[in-house]
Amino acid sequence: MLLHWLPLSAQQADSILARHFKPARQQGTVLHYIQEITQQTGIPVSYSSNFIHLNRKVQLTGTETTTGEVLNTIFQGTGIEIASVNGKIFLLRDISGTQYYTISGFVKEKNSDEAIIGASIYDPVTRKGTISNAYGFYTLQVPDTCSQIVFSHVAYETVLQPLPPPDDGQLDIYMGVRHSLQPVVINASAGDTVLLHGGYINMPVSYLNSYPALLGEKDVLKSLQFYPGAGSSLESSSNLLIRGGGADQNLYLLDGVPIYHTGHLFGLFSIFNGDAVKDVSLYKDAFPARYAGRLSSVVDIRTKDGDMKEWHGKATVSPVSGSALLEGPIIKDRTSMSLSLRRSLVDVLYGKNFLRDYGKYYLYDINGKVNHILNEKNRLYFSFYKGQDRMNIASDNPVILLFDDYNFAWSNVTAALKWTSVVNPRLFTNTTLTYSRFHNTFSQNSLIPLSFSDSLFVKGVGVSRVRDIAINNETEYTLNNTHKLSFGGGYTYHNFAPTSYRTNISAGEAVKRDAPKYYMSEINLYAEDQISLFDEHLIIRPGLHFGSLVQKGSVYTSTQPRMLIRWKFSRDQYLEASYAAMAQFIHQLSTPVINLPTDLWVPSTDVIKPERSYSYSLAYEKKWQNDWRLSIDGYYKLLSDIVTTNTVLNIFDNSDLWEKKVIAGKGYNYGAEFLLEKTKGRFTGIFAYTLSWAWRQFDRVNGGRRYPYKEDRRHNLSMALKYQLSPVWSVSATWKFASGAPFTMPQQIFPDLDWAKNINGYLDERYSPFSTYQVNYLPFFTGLNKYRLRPVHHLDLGTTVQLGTKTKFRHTINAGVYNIYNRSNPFIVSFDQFSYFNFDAVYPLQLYQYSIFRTLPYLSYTFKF
Amino acid sequence: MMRLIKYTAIIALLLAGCETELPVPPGNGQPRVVVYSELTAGEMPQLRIGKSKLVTTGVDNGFELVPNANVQLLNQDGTLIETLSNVPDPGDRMSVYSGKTKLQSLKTYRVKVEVPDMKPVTASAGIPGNCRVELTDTLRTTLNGRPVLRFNLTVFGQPGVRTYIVMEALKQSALVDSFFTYNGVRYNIAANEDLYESVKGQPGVVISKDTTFLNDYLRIPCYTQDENADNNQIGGLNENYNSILFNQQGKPLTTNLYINATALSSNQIEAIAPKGRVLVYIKSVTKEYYDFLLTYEKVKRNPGLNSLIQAVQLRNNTVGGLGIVGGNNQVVYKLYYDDL
Repeated sequence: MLLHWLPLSAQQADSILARHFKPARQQGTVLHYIQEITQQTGIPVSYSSNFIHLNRKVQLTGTETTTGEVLNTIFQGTGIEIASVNGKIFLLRDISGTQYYTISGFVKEKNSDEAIIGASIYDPVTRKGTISNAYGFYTLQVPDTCSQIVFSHVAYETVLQPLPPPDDGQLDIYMGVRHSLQPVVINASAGDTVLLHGGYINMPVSYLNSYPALLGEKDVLKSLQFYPGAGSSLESSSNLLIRGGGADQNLYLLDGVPIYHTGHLFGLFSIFNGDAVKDVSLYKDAFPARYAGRLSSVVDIRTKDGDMKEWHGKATVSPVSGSALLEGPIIKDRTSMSLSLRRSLVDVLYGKNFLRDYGKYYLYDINGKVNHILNEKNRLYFSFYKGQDRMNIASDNPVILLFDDYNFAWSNVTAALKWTSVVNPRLFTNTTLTYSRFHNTFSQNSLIPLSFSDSLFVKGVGVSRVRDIAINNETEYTLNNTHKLSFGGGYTYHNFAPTSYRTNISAGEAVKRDAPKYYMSEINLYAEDQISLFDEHLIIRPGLHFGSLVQKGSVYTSTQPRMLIRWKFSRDQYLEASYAAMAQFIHQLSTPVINLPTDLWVPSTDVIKPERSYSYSLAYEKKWQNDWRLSIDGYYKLLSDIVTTNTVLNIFDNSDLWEKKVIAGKGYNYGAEFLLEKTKGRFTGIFAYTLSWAWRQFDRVNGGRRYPYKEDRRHNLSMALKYQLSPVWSVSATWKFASGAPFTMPQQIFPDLDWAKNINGYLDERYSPFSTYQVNYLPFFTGLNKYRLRPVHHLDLGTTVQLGTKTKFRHTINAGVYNIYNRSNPFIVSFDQFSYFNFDAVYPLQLYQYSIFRTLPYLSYTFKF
Repeated sequence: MMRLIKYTAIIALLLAGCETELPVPPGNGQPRVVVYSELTAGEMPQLRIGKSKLVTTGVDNGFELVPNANVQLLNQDGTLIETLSNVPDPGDRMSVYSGKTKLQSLKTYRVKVEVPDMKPVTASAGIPGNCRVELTDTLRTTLNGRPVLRFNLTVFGQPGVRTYIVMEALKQSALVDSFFTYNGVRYNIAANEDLYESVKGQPGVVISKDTTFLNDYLRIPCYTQDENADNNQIGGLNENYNSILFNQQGKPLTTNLYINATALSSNQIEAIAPKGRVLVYIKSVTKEYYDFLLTYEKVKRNPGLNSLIQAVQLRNNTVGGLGIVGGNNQVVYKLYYDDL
């Protein structure tokens, strides 16, 4: 800091500065008080407007009674020296010659007033700056020598703002949407701050439209999978896996509200509708202290605020789904709204025969947001979301042999009320009240044979749900450009009912057990300090997060230190090290690796401890003229007290005592990531490679030896290329490759005990649910997950054509082909699992691979106004 | 009621159109000798001997008998008690070797099995002390809509020793032959039906029955509602199991055992349950056998043979081979619902 002013005692010795002067009012601009001093006292004041911000509003304390005291108050902290020479007052620049003042405001989209997240604001000479936060707010100290500052963003035209600002009010900046010929740029701006680092990916939603997608459905989470360290468990699954962590170890926040289940259609698509999403941030390491609750990553998704100026709409149809978006001002420049809908259309378009053969399925999403400006410093947001999946399969369908009727229905509902406030140019705070609910219902009608002439009709309904109500506050205080504080806290009330089952049959002697319910309070506090040293070559960001889970029978606390250290070699390359301790108070119990809604969320209890992780990372990044970006990351993560189940959970049974089936152990994830990204020009793209290991170790599994985690993938590679042929036409291609998933193959088989003892029997639906026959052998495994499935890879091509770009009504056609070389990728591999042979039949044992998608074209049409 | 697996099955079936057969990768290692035996106090030793198969290209699920094994029962110190002999039976799925030594409780036995060209197998098991059971009452009732037979019982283990209790029920098939004696000659009724019909009313014709219990069993599902049962580690309390498992330190165990009552008696119209007798076992077993049965229940519910589900490894105590040799001290209730 270069703040310096004349001490008051020295001034009082000077008769000019000690002359009586009582301003007429306590608030005014700098220029006003200078003029008033001259008018009232006749003392001339000499200064240069080059380094004094004359329009700056200042507030006096009311105790000032002399010229010196008034000037001292006015210029306190500005680096202006006050001196008297030959009967004149001189306002001089301090010895460093630079005066700093603070500008702040919101960065918004021109024509819509949509807040822009992650815009870079920087001095083009020193290239020092900041970025706008999740609400578009920024605060920056600029030197008086700075004649302009730059506002840039990947998706918007750069704005050069002359300085000093025209008045002392809030400096809101409006940025125009970037022309389509100028391609999307990711993470590339000269004003990068510590927020943009190797383990952090910020992706504007426009990025979604750049590359081909399965069935043309632009998926937020799948787009993140282009980047190193982010993968999926299965081909084209939206199930996001970060650095060897499980899907349950990602904290998904939709406008700040935690989401517990992110998959539609068994995880093939995520619930995040690209039309509604404005911005996506993924943190893989160096977690800011405000985030906690999961071990592996944070996915922070913000939805559109709605156009403040005029109404806009958009509708997209494809052979499988339709979506619509409507946004506009309820009160112009004051209140806006955004509403988006998405629904699958398979059940509507393909007639009753298809439904009879394959069952009925549909999904929909509704996202809504209302954004109200109270005044230039205060704003209210209300957002809500509902997503629903429904699936019915009848036992009498002619295609799939089933014995029961099944109905699945799962949904997420979230709501958030958010108040943001600019307390002063350096202090920004937001307070959020949130509600989140995940509800899953499963019902089954079964006819269980008791004998050949008697059977038991069972109609069972199971429910699993999670409800959260929370209030959180986050506050940012910018002391100056090199020192920034963040702090806040929150309270969450959790209500978990993992399993609740009811049936039509009489319990008889069975003990009627109430569904287990858990009521918990979670308290979080955090503080973080970001300091730049050595002319901003060194950035240190220590942080601390404290979390506590309180419920009947147990109290857990967790102190989670965070640290980020970055050394900038020059403005275009840096080396960064980080450490983060994280704790997860809730656990997801699942057996299959696909993203089933049946995965249970359960809390830590007096028996089950919170899961913890300790991650270390080292990253190097270099850029070339903002066109190319290279980053290399290495990480090591130790997981402790992670839980797994050592049997198949019967999820909808109140009598299923899940705590007795959970075991705790350790995990070890480590690897290296490489990213090369071309971010500007007609030709853009990503090349990402990850080399990684993920191990798990449990006392009672695999003889206590560690074994590859089910999500362990040795190599992950992705390439995404886009070429802009003309302003209205682009072509793109992506190729993804992932090593095969681990699989436990029996090394040997040997006679089954019951079979060997001539004990038969399949009474009471006891064995395989899809075959009433049991196999006559037992598998012998020498170790878990020693075998690998075949690698998963596919090449996808796509093109986008925009029509009517200069008219009010615009049209976009997206078309492409998924998996163009018709690769059969493994979705499920089974060793004699789905056979229908008799107990005594001798038959060859095979490996069966079930694939989900072969070559699949897509086409969608979008209409915008 | 394993819905989770059903989800997987449904998905697999939905994908059946995209099924590809993959070659089983070439396996390595050598097949092992498989030994199953329950060394039961008061009974003669009986071992089932078989061979495992390498999972490799061309493997099938057929298992060969092992008539040429050298099977020995040894004392704990390795001295030979007897060599067991193979008595082939057409119904055998594994080769059965039997001995004549009456096994004693609280004694540890070793078994040694040698099969030509295969690695020898050894295992040992100490037979637990007497297990006393007080059966308070039985009751026909229902459990979640199913007809069941309830046993209210108390098991007294050895004082100061952890007792591993296994409860299970089987129905053993019986062959009932009817005969008639006419003019001093004994005829099988089924084979001489016409003659029987013509003479059955005559004086001097004596009808008799001959019941043979077969080496053929039907497993009767068992249930428990006891939260202390280790079945809670496997599934829910409303599910059915091969066996109900408890481990109890020192004190008596009082609980209700439920067995499915559908198959208690046979029905001539329905072949679901064979004619025979019901055997209800209350066993005190060795820890290794208990652990095997616990994992066996898991494997039977989830063989773990597809890539979506984590496999479960079976416990065993056979050195050099596969299988289990368990010590057992049991009480058996024999129930006769069928007219034999």
